[in-house]
Amino acid sequence: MNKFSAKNVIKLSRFDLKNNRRLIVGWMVSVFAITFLYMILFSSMKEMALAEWDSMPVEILEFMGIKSFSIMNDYNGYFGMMYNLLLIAISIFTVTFSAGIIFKEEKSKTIEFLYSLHLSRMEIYFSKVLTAVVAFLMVLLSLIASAAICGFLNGGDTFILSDFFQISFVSGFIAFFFTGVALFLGGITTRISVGMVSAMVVVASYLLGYLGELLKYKGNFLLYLSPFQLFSPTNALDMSSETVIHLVIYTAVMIALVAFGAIVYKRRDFNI
Amino acid sequence: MENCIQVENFTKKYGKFTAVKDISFNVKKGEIVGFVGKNGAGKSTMIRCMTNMLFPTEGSIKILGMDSIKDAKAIKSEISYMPSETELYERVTSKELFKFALSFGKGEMKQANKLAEYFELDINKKISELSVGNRKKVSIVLMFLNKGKVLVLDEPTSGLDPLMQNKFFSKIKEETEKGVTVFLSSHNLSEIERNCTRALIIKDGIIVDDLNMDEINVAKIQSVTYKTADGKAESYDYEGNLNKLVEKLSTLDLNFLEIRPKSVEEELIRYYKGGEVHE
Repeated sequence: MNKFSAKNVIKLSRFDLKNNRRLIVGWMVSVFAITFLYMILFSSMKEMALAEWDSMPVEILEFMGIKSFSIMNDYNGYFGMMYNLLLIAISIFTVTFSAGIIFKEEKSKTIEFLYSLHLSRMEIYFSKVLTAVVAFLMVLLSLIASAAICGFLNGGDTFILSDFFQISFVSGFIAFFFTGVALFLGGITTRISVGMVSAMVVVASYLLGYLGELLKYKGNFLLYLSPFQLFSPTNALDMSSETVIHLVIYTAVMIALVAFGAIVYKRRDFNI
Repeated sequence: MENCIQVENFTKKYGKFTAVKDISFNVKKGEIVGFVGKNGAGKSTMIRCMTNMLFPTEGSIKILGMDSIKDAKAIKSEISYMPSETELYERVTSKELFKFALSFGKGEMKQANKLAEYFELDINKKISELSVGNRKKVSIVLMFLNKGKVLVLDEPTSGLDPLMQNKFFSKIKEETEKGVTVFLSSHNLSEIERNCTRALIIKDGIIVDDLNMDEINVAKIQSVTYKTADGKAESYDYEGNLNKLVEKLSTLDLNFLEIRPKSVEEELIRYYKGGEVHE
């Protein structure tokens, strides 16, 4: 009678996704449109950017994830540059959404209705995990689809589909990792605005990675605190053994965070 | 008779603040127990601990022999809970909400339709379009749909008009005749008086009295009000020998005198006011 039911998790998640469909679809459309706008202009941006960026400080270019101008000649390289920045936006969406779906239930007290049903706390928590993952994938796939369409339209020979997907999914792990962080924070407490805290974690992580790049050998350790650096499009494409190890470690950390969030969620008072 | 609800040495603390302190009580099968107390007395805290929204700091709560923490999910299939605040998902209709709730339970949509008709609820309107009273009706229907053996209700009639309150308690009486046990908190003292078999009074986190409604109706306490010729007026509760009371009052030059048995509602108000009883 106390048994965990995956069926309940799926039912709850479907209900959650239905209740949040406007927000998710809004983000999908926005991300698709913004990506399309940038990527369809690949050819004209190439010439314009090379002229403009020549005079820009190296540090600003590095902040934008641009290490070399040669990327502008290559559709996948150009995509990687844009992707680096778009991933900040997608990460902020996914953390505020993931933390928000847990936080909102308690803040608005709908958790009293939800928990009056024949459900366990674990089923509720993991339904939020499923909802967050599905919402994140929908927004990410919308971006990838948009960039892929533009790649076919104006990428030419430099649009290599396999490389494109490798960059998309390996670097996409950055936002996926932050989804786990937000779910962990939402699981352990809703007494603070966990969405805002999670967004701050995303921004801090990006800045730490940038700082690590700027400081070179003195600040090298900071790179390990930033998935934005470890799983940058450049590293995603290279897919060195070091990147694979980082991927494994970060996946393990994410799973541990979600699991810990679940354990605390099971044992804490609801904030109602 | 078996105990449906067993609360033993239950304490709930929030940091240094003790919301409920070491309370114990039982509720037997078929009883309708009213849980009465001022705002902030600890009623909702107690109820939320019963339903595992909150965890006791000390002590235990058992419902139908099951532990409120270890068997939280199993308890859910045996109880029906109605929170005091009717916060529901705004963008769905009542019908969608009933279907959603039924997908985890044992009832049928037919039953939901019947209950909605009984409580005069339009199930095709979105929750956001419903008034406070109508949202309460949605909450009531959801509660009845679960077909619990124990009903745990937190201020179930707040926001309802008098007609709906009557309908609600008619339904409750029907359920108790089938052997369902009811534990409800309320500020409506006349409602407690009319519908409950027992009243537990909680004050500052402590149960101060456990009143059997039938025993209260035997008028032990008299309400005394008098005015004297020189303008002195007094009003108090008296419990004791009536002859002694009359003897004492006969020494006064009275203009007005009223001695009447206290109603249950007045008795319960005494706990709210913290009044004393003269002897």
